[in-house]
Amino acid sequence: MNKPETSLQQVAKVTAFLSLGFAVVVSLLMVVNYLQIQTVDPLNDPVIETLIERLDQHPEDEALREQVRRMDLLSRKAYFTTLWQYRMGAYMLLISMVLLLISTKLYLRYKAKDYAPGTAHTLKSLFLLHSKQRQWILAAFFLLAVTSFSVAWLSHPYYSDFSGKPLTERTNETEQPAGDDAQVAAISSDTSTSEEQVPDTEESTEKIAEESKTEEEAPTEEEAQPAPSFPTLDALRRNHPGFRGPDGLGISYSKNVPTQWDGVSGQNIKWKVPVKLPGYNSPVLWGDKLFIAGSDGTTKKVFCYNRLRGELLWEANADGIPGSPASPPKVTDDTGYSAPTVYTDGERVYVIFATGDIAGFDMQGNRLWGRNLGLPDNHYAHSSSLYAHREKIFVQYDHRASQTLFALDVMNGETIWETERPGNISWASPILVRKENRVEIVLANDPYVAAYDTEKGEELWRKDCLSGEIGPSPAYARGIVFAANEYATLAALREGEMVWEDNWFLPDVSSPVAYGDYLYIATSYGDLACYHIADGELLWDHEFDNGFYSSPMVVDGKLYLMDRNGIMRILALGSEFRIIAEPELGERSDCTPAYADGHIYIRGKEHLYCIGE
Amino acid sequence: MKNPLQKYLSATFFLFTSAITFSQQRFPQPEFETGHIPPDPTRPMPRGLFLEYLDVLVLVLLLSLMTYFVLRLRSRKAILWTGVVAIAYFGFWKVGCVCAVGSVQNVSLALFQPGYSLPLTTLAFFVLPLLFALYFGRVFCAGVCFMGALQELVIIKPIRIPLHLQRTLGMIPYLYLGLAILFAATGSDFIICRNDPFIGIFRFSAPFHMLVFALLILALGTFIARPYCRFICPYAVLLNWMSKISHKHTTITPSLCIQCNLCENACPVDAIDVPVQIEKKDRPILQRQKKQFIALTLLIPVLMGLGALLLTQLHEPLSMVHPQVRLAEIIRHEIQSGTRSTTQEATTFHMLGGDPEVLFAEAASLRSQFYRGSLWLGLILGLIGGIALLQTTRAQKREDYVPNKGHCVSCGRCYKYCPVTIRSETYDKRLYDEQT
Repeated sequence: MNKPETSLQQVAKVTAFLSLGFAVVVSLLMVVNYLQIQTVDPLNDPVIETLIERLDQHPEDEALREQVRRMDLLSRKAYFTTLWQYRMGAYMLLISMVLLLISTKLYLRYKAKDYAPGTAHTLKSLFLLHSKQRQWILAAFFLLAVTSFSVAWLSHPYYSDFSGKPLTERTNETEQPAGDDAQVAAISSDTSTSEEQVPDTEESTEKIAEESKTEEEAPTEEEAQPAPSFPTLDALRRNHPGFRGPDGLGISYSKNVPTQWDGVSGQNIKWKVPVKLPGYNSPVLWGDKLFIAGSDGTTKKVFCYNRLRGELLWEANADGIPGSPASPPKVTDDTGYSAPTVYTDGERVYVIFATGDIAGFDMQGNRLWGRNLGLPDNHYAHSSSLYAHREKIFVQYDHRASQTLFALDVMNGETIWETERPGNISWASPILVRKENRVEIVLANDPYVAAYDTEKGEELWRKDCLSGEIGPSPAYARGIVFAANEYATLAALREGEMVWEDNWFLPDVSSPVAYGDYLYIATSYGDLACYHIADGELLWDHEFDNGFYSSPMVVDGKLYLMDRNGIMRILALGSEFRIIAEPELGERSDCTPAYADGHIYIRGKEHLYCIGE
Repeated sequence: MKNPLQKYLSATFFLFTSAITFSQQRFPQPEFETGHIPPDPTRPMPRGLFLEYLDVLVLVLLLSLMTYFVLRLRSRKAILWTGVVAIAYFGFWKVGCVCAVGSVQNVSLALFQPGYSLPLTTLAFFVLPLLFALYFGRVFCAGVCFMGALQELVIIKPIRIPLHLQRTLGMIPYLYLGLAILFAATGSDFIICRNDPFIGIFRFSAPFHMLVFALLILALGTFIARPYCRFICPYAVLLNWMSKISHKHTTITPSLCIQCNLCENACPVDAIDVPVQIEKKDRPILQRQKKQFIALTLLIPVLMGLGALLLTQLHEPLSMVHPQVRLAEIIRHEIQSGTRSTTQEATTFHMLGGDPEVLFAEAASLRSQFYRGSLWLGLILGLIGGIALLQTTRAQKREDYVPNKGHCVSCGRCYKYCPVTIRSETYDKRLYDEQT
């Protein structure tokens, strides 16, 4: 006999029914609302589009313009209101479901429980049960196998075989009409066909083709060409040919460099001109010329200024280079398309961009050659600067897909040698180390620091000591190479052997400089530290208010270091911390200034400055 | 710890844990001062490290409490309320991520892709429930798992599913686990998270199909207890294995079973093994079972081979889950047809100046990974299927009603069905002696 329902049970029953009804209504409304949201697109409202078209024909009609704005606002409001309703519906549905659940459970709680006793298995009943289980499992297996084989068999013809021949061969075999991608692929694999396929780059390719043709057909004419001349070490030191000066060591030989200026009042500012295209590359100097590069992704240019007057002498494009990507790669704002600093040897200027385009120009801005090294697979952007020694330009091309050190011919950009250096992506620049019988190029990447012979590209030594995203370039003094990176270590290496190691102050963008007995490290957090190069003893450290991306340089017996807010920290060299001056530029700057002939050249965020007394 | 297998598994756990801990991220992510304000993510915001450690602490606390409630207090009410707390904390507050179920994929990714750093807290979420299962049974499923707890709450009138159907549907989690590991190991996708039916409820936001799926599962759960736990959950496979050899598992009766048969229908997940009587007259059946056992043992290599063949045939469609392979197929089609795809991926690829040859090489490498992974997966699934078939030839004499250690989720529903309430040291001792 059923027990009579208690009042609590009755209340629970009514609540359960009400909640169920409410949940069903809300669910239906939500479905309707969902369907509405699917049809409403505030960004492509046909009414607004019609009004906009009309406005295009009558741009002076202010009333129409206002109407478009009102309609747009209305459409957006309607869309977001519907979304809000949808969300509120979800809350209400949840509450009603919880109520339904609680009330049903309460109702059932007082109902008689089914305590019906069960029966034990006999072996026979178990055997029959197991047989049935087996049949079902095998049937499921069979069904799955048939379905899977059918799917595999039916879908197989639609999948490509990616493990076969290269694309170019396959497309030739199938004689398919080549799209843009096929052209790009063909260009990268066979430059002889590039002239026909890329008409807008005819001039540059012709130049390269002519050069190679000349070499092949009339080798004797090579003698007729003017022999390339290379700068002496003395000439390099008188100028500022690349990032962080001669050989990239952070040492300038300029004298009488000013220590006082003020960018706001104009004190000691000889000239100031706006930068025409963005870039984090630093200025370089040769003679009376100053070079910088800039790019916004689509336009890639080199600018040449008269460094004494600030007058723009020429600007040259680095576009139309064969193999250059049709669209610029994605780069981050803090690196940009033109982070690598250009290099000049006084005869030519060399530039590289985040697209992998590298080009050589003469000192009058005529492009001598251009080539693409392959799109760098780099999540920030390529930022390693160029250096040259005699007839070779060196490119540290460490990217996700491959890590290579290129030595290119300064005259035509052709590869003289290339050395694969397995490791990881890096953003650091090389330095050149001059020894008695040879010149070495030292590179830092994850996970090692390595030195290579500049003649043949052979690896001379290598030491695993770094990790992470390597931004700072190495430093060198008295036979010791210094390499450091944030979250890794500061390592002092002599011919690949660890001399000492420290991890107290570590840079992540700014490169260290070593001079005399001292090594200086500037960090992104505003620390500046001085170590003794022989044993790694920390001699002093100081925390400034602003961080450093620019690299410190030893100039005229002092340490010059620009912080991110444009304040130049000028310090005395040596074992004691002493600030000499702290002049302000009045503009943010992350580039490393160039020094020559008693002048400082600074690339700020917006302007290029010349400072001199 | 008397069971040598248990010892071995414990040792393996600790070794495994230490090995993975070595691949922890050694340093915090670098900070860049670009002034860029990142947009709000559509998925849960990253949690602070402190909160992640707090999550682990809460997990340990709830697991310990649940163990106490299940094994000592034997209180269904306490188990349910712990489940409510788990739903509130891990479900609504922590919005369901990371959870033990999904952590299987993180661990797989860490094992097969050395570049991936497995967070210590994720590892803890993977290991702790398994360790507790190894020692105390599936106390995690009882209510510490917010998904299990939610399903537990919505059970209204559970019905029994035929056992043969249960056994067959019970194979799905193995397949799901295998695929989840394959996709995670190849860096393709985290399919468990992507198809999690409950996450939308806790986040108040989900694609429409996922909400519908969630409502269906919950509606189904009102009369088929815990459908996700029993027939879908891939983590349950691992918990099942651990729990089978658990050191101390919950019991139906607090003392000795008096064979009253009242509890047989008590379990909503059909995890009570009923007594099996074997008599002398059953000898011919036992003989037949032996023959079946031998035949099915010989069938195992065939099943493994078939599984391997089957899955390797499917490696191409399976590889399409990986975004790079999908993109490579699109680009290949573009080149062959001379047309341009309008998909976002293809447009981005062209915009970034991607090299098709590099993409195709990558796709070929991924396909080859899928081939190898499918081969192993097929072999393992064949083996598991074979073992499942072998289990149907086993008949063990059983005197009492006991929980099936693998399938029991320690929900405590059966406690009140047992009329035995007397508990004495003498009974406990006898029970212990009998069990050991």
